[in-house]
Amino acid sequence: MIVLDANNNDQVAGAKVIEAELGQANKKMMIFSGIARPEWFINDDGHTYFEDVEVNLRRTVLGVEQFSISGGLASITNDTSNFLIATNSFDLDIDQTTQELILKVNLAAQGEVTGIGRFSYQVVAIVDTQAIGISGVIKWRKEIFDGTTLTPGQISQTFKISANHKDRIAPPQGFVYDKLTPVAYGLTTGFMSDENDFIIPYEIPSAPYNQPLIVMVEVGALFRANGQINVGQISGPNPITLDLTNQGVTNVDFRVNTLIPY
Amino acid sequence: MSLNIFLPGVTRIPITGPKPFNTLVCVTSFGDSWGADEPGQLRRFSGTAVSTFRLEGFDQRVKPIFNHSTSIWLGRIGPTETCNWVYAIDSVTGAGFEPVFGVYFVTFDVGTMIGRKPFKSPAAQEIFGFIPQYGYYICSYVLCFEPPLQNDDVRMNQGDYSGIGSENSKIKGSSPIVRTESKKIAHSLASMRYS
Repeated sequence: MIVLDANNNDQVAGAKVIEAELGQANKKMMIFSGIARPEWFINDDGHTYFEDVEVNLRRTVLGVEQFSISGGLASITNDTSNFLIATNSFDLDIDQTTQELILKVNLAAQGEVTGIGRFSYQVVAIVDTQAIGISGVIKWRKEIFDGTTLTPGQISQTFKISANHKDRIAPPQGFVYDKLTPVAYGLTTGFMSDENDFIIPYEIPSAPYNQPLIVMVEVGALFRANGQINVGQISGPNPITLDLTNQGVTNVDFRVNTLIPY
Repeated sequence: MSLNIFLPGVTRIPITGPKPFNTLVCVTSFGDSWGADEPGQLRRFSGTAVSTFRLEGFDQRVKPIFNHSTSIWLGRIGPTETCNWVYAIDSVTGAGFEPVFGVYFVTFDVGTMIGRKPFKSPAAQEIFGFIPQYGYYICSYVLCFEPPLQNDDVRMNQGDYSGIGSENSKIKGSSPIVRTESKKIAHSLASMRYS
């Protein structure tokens, strides 16, 4: 079994998802595309080998109402021998723990120095989605940076919001440290201000279930402030665990500060 | 049985969001590549596939807002002789609308290696210009905004377009301006370009 992550460009090249609203609450059409990279090679032209591949599409859903899958070979090779190279089947499943969509593919190959480096997929699915996910705001004091100088597109580029799975790594030699792996990304949904602050609402609509998640906010270069920028969570749980009975957490808020007086 | 299709390879699906999008367009196409020119060497190319989808309401002064989800896969390989070979579509690198007519295109990276020349006869190369080494299918879904047609638009529900795309294409119906322009774009731009 080869397991690939659509969030990792080394495992799935150019993964893209678009979502279309169909006019019904909590129901969407999702379209997933990418070129998965199993890099599976064999060296035997006397037998046919089979391999299962799972691609975690990194979108959390409650159910799948309809789906269709297109796909095919994208990178194949053979070295002067009889060969068989195939994508036998494509199927869609939901991870029972995280509720993430999983693309299941069966590959077959036969031949000397023969391999399937990549295969393409496109999944069109109508899914039932979670109502909320994770949401909150990002604030900063007006004196730090004038947010009105940014266009809506620049605002979305300035803040990289992610929900991360945390692994505690204990190397044989050295210090224990936490490794954060992004499993869902957020997007900004507006721009507001009050008397003291600029305020950016955000949502992470597809965070996986049944695992502790840490929300991170990174600030890009378009945020031009004097001094070193620091972002800290000021409200909401940390870590956050979603499940079927607790599908959403709100008010996970952050504040951007600078480390020198302004 | 022939289908009454006005614009093959383009399907527009009305949607309610997310804002500002109101249309989901499914674009399909098929392309050829002649691949590596020197046997035994892996060559990589960047390609552009121009579609027959033109954004309605395109204005050169306004950069279109869109989002896409695109996949490309091998539809055919060869012909080639006994050799070691690689046929690869590495990634879809982007998509956009060309700035003159607002025609949708997709960019991608491919790579090929063949062990021998596809045809030994130079005369064959000369006759055909190039020998396609592999073909690929492209399917792209595009979220975009297009001004909706009005119900009283005289162009709606008129004409028979079943001949377009068939061997003996004939333009029928009563909307010559729209159809002629679309057909001209399809013929002049529905091809593969390599840089």
